[in-house]
Amino acid sequence: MTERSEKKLKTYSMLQTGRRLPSNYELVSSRLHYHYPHNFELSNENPVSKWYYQYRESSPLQAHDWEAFADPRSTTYRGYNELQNDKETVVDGLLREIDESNYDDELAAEWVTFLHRWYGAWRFPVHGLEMISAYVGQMAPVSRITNAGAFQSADEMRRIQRIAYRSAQLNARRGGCEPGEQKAFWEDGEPFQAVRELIERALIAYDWGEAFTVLNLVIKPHLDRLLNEELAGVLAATNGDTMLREIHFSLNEDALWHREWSRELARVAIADTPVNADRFAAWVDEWRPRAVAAVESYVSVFEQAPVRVDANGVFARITAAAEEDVKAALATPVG
Amino acid sequence: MALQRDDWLDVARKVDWEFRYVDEREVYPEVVSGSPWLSHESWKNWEEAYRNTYREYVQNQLVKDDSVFAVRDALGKAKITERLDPAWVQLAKFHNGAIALGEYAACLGELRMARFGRDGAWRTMANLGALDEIRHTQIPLMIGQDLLKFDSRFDWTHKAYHTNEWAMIAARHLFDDMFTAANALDTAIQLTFVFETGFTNLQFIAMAAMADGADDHVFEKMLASIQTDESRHAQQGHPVLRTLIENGGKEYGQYLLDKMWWRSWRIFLALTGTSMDYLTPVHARRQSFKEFMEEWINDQFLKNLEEFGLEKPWFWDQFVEELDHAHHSFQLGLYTYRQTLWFDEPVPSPEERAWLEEKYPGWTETYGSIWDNIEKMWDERGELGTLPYSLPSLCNLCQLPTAFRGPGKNTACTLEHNGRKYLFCSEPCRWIFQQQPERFAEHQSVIDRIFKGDCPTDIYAVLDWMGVEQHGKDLHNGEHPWRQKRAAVSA
Ligand SMILES: [Fe+2]
Ligand SMILES: [Fe+2]
Repeated sequence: MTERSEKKLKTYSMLQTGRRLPSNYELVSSRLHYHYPHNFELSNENPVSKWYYQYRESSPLQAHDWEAFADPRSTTYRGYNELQNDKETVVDGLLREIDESNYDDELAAEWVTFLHRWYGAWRFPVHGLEMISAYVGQMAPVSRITNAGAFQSADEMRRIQRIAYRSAQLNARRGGCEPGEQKAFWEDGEPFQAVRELIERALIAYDWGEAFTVLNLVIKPHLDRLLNEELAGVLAATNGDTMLREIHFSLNEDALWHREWSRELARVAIADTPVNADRFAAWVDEWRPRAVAAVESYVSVFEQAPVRVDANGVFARITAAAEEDVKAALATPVG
Repeated sequence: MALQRDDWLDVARKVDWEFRYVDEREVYPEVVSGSPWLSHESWKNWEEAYRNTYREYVQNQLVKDDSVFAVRDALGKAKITERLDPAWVQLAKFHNGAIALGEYAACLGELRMARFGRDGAWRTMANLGALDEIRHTQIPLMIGQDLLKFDSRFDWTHKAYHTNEWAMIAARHLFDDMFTAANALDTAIQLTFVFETGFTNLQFIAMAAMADGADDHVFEKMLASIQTDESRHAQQGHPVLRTLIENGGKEYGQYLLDKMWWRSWRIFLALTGTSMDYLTPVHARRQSFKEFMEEWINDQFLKNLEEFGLEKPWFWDQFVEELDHAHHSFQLGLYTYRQTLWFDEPVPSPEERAWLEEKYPGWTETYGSIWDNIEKMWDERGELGTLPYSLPSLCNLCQLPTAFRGPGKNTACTLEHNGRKYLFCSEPCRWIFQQQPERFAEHQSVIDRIFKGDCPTDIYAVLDWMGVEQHGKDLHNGEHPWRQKRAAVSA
């Protein structure tokens, strides 16, 4: 029988790259999917295997080495909880400060009504973002992308829960803005309908590459800005609700990371296979008008706030910034 | 006054709405969401018993990780091969290989439920479950890396699922069927109700108690901590099964239960049964595998079934009968085919044999005599006399060797389907196949692949094809102290 070689490994053999040892992030995040490509141990006829082979293996978005992607934040499980626990501690502090002061009593009645109508219901579209992110994660060809999708999905849960908490907190103090009633504004409120259409259609964009592009290169750069920076940011502060701005400043840190890793993934995909730039661009062209329409329809509410903010200005800021994002993400790498 | 969790959490979990621009059936296609397809109306009362907020989650998990890593930092760098019983080190390699990346596959199962689960509360829970499974992958990968410098076969912590090693193909087949390539409803029942609620206690809690006895506190802490997550996200199964049964799906629920009970039993006897009764030092064995099964699995789980008006699986009598012998037979297979494993296998010592006879009366007569024979071959012909001449036959369902024969009884059976002949280790494996032949029929076992010419036939070439570069061997290299003592006495 063959003698056992006693060479000692410094790291897992599949993670060896030259002489450099993998970082802790690389060690725990790399090459964890055994089923890509085409490797489920069931008949190819199994409907879920087929689903993967169609929407993952046969996606127009392909690369030779997806493993070249690395999360720029190097998020590990432990690192994620550390980071998010710190952020949540900050938000806890803000919410406690609201409780312990007469902050809510001083908000204008019209602003409370405005939030009831146009803020609390955001937990529905954000849940759509959470679902799509979970989809991107489960369909990704490599584990580093799956992890980013899973953490992003959890970040959206965080945002939903903070919106829900804040809505309930306000209602407990001021009354008349029962969060349980807010679904009606999402389902029937005119300004929300284009947002709703965008989310509903994006939920059924099942091609893996398309789902990633639509969610992270098109929808989120628009809607995250609309919610975190404009509605709960500029408009809230203009109406004296600086605490809401602070809360969403923290939530927006998550959104900035979503943009950052997505930009990196797009960069890697294009550097690996240049024609991917065209594929991204085709999806962006197809979906951007819907995202723009969603922003355009929703920003009308900015004119309904007690202290108004010019809706056209908001629209212009968001669409210009989102366009810059896509441009940066799809820029041909230099060199 | 700060709000109580229940004052606001419902509005954050119950976030379904009526679709206007697309159809509910497009958002939740039956092939990935599950059958029977029911509208959200049927799912809207989905509730889990113990709730958790995101805020609580990140805080609690941080504390849990801190306590695992404190033990790792204190003990993990110590030289495991000097500190621990050598058979136990084999157990750790076996466990890490079989579990670490399987947990990651479970992350996909959780993400599937986080997207295609049919109620917002379910999806919310599954989202946290997905994070849990990332944790269950990352902790063993870190701990396994610490051990590489003492034993390079801890490489299998990461590598195992990427190989064609036969036991790993069996693990992939099971997990793909259970969750990696299963729809959300099937995943909830198969993974969270049967596997996690029913069985994982055994691999994580019972094994943690043994790790404590074996002085492997890093392993102990890791297992115990992982199980606290499992028991939280395992809650998803109950409300899914309840909804299914309320909507006329009782028969299907019974099928999923029977199927996954049998498949879980196969993997647990192969991994946990042999680990507990053959690789754990005798002084660390808290109970026998059979005792754990009876106390922790059977009694507990049967209570769960009553709650739903479900029956015991139809093969219950065979299952109970197998508790006495299946893993002992399987252990002989592991020993015989040890060259195909990434860890070593021991011959039970006289002390271990006495323990086995006490726990399984009749063991000596049935199995002791076979081990006697193996020892005799070592005496007479050395290692070569103890190695197999032929390939084992593998079950076309569970992919394990058809080596579960009881005393004087062979349970293997066959089936002709669409012109192909299939072999099964047992009636229940055949029954599972027959219920959904389209799901399983195309699959090729390692033996099928060898006969088809997809992999080599020369034994060493087969081992390379399986990725087994450092072959498993007899734990004592054939130098069993009790045999040497006997030889000295008779000389
Ligand atoms: Fe797990
Ligand atoms: Fe789990």
